[in-house]
Amino acid sequence: MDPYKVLGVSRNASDEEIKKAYRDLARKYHPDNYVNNPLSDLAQEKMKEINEAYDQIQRERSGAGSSQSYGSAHSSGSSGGYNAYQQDYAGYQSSTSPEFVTIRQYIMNNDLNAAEQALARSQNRNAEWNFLMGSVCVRRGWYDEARRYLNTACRMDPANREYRMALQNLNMSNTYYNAQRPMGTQDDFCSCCAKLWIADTCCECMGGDLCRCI
Amino acid sequence: MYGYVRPYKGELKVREYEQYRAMYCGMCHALERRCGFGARMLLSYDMCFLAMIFSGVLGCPMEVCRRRCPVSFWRRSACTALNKAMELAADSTVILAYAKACDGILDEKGLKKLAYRVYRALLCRKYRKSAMRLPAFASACEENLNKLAQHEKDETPSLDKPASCFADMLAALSEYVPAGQRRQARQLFYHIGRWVYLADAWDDVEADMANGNYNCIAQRFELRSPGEKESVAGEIEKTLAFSAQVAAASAELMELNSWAPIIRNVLYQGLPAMACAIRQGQTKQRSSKHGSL
Repeated sequence: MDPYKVLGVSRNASDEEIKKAYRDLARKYHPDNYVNNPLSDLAQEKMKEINEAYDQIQRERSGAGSSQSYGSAHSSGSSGGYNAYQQDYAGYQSSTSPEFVTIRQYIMNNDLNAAEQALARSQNRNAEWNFLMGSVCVRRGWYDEARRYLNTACRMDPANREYRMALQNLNMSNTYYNAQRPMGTQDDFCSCCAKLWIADTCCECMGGDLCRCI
Repeated sequence: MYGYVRPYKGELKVREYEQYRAMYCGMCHALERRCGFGARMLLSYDMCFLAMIFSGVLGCPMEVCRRRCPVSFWRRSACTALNKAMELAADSTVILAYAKACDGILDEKGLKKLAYRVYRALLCRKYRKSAMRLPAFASACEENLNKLAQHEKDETPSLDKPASCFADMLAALSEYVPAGQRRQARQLFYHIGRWVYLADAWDDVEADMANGNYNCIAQRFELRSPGEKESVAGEIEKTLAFSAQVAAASAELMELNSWAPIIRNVLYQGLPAMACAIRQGQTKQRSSKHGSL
């Protein structure tokens, strides 16, 4: 595959341009942006592709100083929210009732309907029950419900790290998305001056003064 | 649908704006060609968005032709020529419009209910034709509409349960996307649907509460007077932003060809701008809503 095509730059682009294109793409497909998205595996693949393309270009143009891609650290340590959940499950199973262990198994296999049915049958509505309900909702994209359940779980068991992490992941907003949002209507310099002038005039009407120079 | 999903014009390039206009006008002609003259009335920004997505994933080449506009017939506007993606979008428009009419009959009372009945009767023949062409989508719509009606009857105090019924309707459209991009398309359509349902509910909170209709936001936050709308604005904006973010992140994983910049504009800038407009009540002031009906 043509590495230049992957990065979306022309063959004779400068090193600076390539670096910029690479950084933009790496920011776009960063695992943090896919924490609450079941497509995180696809994003990881994409990230790997971009890193490989960048490394290949760097090798080809071996004159450039830095041959290490700055994102290679990401790709090795990329732990999207889903993986993080899964690791947590593995480390937590010892302290749960057998009922919840099977439900965690369902969630890990993405069998959400089975998990939900099992949860509905369960009589044990403790913090973990709320956490598991929240996890099912996250996977479905039910943000509001998920937050309700996870909040309850954290309230019932404030010391639990796993529940807090899940809630944190849910509240984490996509920084790339927010950077693309349109700016609100901001006052330009002119209207700022005009407002100051008007305020000054008003003050002068009342006998005071806001700015002595106008 | 409702006309909420549209680009933020200020951030579009002129070239992109013209491309979007051509698609909008092209969809109007596509609706007539595919579903008869009356179907033109169903044209909306949302449908144009669907047509862009389908054009992108199906890789339909964009051919521009000039056609006379039925509204201002002295003008010959640039249109995209009918292609497979637009046919798909036109059929799904009719099916969704029919679903909306069915929903309206259940929701409304009095004169409005009668209006919806007439509307549905007018759509009936077109619907049957389109449903023959997209049977899987039509049956998914019907099924989810029943679920939605049940939630409305039970007055479910939840945002996500009713919203997911509507979202699943749109998600069923991913059937018609090539297999390699189906997962991404499903996620994108689902969250666009969720966003539209919640945005519409938020836009209608005051009217629904005054008329005593079901509104998921009023139920979920136990609002008592229409004036309390502002107090939950932060929560709603967060939940809308979540869906918009997931939709945008999913679209980034799709191959959208020449439509990518416009679709990106809609998802990154159009949706937040629309959420802002709804919060400030601008959608109700002017007749800026190019939805169906």
